[in-house]
Amino acid sequence: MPRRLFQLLTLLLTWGFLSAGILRSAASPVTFHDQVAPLIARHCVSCHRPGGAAPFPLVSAEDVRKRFREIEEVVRAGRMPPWLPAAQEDRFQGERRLSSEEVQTLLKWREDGWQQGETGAVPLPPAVPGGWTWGTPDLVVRMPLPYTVPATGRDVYRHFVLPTGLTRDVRIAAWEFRAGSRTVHHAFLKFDRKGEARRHDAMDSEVGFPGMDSPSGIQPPNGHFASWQPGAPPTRNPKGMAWLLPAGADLVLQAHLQPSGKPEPLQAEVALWFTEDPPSRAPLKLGLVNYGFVIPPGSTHVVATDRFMVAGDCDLLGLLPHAHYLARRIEATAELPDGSRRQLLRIPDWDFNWQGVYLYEKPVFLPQGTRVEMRVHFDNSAANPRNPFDPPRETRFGLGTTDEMAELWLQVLPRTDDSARRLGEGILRQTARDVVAYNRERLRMDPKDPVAYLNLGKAFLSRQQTTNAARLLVRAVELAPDSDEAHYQLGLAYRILNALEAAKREFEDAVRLHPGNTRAWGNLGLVELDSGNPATAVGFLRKALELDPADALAHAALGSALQQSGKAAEAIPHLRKAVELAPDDAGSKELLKVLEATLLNRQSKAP
Amino acid sequence: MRGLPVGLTRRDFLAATAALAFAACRPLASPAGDTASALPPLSGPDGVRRPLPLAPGTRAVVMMTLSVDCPISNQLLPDYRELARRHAAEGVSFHELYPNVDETDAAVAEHRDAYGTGAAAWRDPEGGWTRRFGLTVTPQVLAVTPDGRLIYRGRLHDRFEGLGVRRPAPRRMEFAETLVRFLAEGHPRAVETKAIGCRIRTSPRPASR
Ligand code: HEC
Repeated sequence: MPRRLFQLLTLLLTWGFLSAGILRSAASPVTFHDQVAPLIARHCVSCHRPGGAAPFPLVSAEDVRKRFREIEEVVRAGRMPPWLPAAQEDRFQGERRLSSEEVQTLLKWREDGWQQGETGAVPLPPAVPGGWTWGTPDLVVRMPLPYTVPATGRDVYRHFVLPTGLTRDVRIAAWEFRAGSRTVHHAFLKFDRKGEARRHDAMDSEVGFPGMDSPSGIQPPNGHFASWQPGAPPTRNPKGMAWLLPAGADLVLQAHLQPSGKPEPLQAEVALWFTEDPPSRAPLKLGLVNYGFVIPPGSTHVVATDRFMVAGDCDLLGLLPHAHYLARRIEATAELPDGSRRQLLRIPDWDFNWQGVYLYEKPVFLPQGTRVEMRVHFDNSAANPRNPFDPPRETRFGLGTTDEMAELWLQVLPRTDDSARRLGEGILRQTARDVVAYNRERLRMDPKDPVAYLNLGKAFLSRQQTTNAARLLVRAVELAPDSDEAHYQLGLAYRILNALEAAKREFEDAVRLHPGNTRAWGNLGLVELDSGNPATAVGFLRKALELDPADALAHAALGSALQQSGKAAEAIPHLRKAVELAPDDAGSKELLKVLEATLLNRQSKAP
Repeated sequence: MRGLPVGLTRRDFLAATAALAFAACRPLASPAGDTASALPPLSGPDGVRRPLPLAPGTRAVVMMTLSVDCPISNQLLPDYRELARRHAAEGVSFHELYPNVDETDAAVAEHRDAYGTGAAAWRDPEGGWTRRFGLTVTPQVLAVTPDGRLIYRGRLHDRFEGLGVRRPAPRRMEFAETLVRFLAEGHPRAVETKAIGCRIRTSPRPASR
């Protein structure tokens, strides 16, 4: 083909395409009604509507037009709609992302001269009758008193106690959070069974108590995440996966609040829907954490990593990454047993303000032997706009707002009972390791931290390094002579080391400091039993059972103490109870068999 | 802590009223060559256009632009008012300027009901200040000498690094530093920083059909 002709053809074709493009755009300018409103409805009005979570509505053409420059900036930068994870093969529920075509369409509205098209505003999502998504809730808990978010200053991180008044255990099928104030930037829903949150609350002069992370006794529901952020839909747990809210437990709201420019009252509510369905699937949570990182000032290279070997087949349902302000990128990958790698999560520009839970659309299968890895990249340079310090300072792990964290929580559903057991053991091993790392870090920060000594002592006890444990627990008792828990744990160590007199002293101190310490009463009984005083032991063990009638070990010990004091008939019901509560307790089973046999023997011989 | 913002706002209001009353007592600048006439007139809370009343000895005139529904200017407003309190006795005349033409007197009044009254509030319906001093966003701080020379134009401080990028707390207080230096040195250096906020609307823009 002559070259000239070829060029001509190319030219014609190109021109043809170009003019077709021009014609098309000339023929159909972007209008508010046809393109912009549906786009805003899909991606923005869940928050930007009257009374919504965002500070202003985007409903009328005027609303959108008057903020167009801001809209342009935030959609180009990918900051709105807010969504941290990068697109990947395994998709998350509720992903919020504008495609580049959508961004172009939006911007073309301006180029095309702000045409309205047919009149009408952005269609709003239908209002929920009565205000709650699933009709009348079974229980609505509310902050008993309002907290006033100050007009300005640093962001506020606060916990609020919401007593439930429940007198029986309930299973939560669904929950919905109503902030009632735009100052709430995110919130975690947690439980407290031991009144720890109330104690902290009582020590603070205002409503609630501060903290970017929660004290250890305040935990999310077992195996679940319960997280809220502006625009988040209410949560319905998958069938068979309701969580247990124990009688008497408090709900605790851990909230991140942003001052708005004026003092704002906050009195948030949580609606709960119960279910009677028995739980059929028990998800587990695996934590990848790193406590040992050090981020020197100015550095952009520090990466906190952690790995977890998945010890049983399971499905990964979702993830919760957590870090503070210096984290820039967060990645989670799975290395499968066949050597292939799978990206579980990648957050290219971490923003603490928009942290949240990511649940997969389809669970990701993790076969036994998969290695999950977390990588949190920190930027402690002055160029990190979120750096709390100028000039930057050395930063390490800590719970304070200007400390850092590196965590990734995985919610998994084991495929079989066996994999559940293996996974559970793996979690325990990992936790024991983490407890040691965590408390060593606490001691580095405060060498006189009694809680760190106590936790380390407990960790060594569970690893059967009893002498080490005793050494640490002695220190814990010295530093916190009023802690019944410290005395109790030290007593345990002494008892295991067979130092019965010393053990007895510690348990006595524990019950003196806290007469409700069931396990200390029980252990006093065990010490007496070991010392050959079954009759004295009986008293202590009865006391323990009075406080906790479901304590299998106390039933077993009481059975044996009664038998040794010659009260076999009285021993039998306790041994039965012990076996019922702990079917693996071979000792009680054996003793029960013997006693029942002798008793039967005696009865048959009776006239 | 809880009652504080309200208390301060009230004090604020009293200070502002006193300043206005004082200004009203003295003769306003004559059109020929008086200092205040170097500055364009503004529209007061009553909707009446008038030259800015300046007390004798005023060394600097400071404005922060506000919008009734810009979350960023709302968030920085208390910090601006705090600064105004700190420097009010040093010959600095503080003001709050609502430059968006589509915000009515009623909307401004409602905003001040919600956020309290700080320094005197003004609107700029003719865009005299907005154009003359190149104001682009709310919040933006402008400081000029009474004869109109630029001391500072830009952000109050660096709490916001971009739209949707917010520091845990401000690191640099650029405006406060510039003002303190100006008060010490006595001559303006025309410092500029980039203000982050909502674009100012200088003409009403109904969407076309
Ligand atoms: C999940 C809720 C949510 C969605 C969805 C959402 N926004 Fe926002 N938007 C917010 C919140 C909350 C703010 C206030 C700033 C902040 O808290 O970071 C905001 C702020 C903004 C701002 C002002 C920027 C600033 O920093 O003040 C613009 C502009 C904006 N959004 C545009 C959009 C657009 C356009 C969409 C849809 C494409 C959208 N938003 C979707 C919650 C949302």
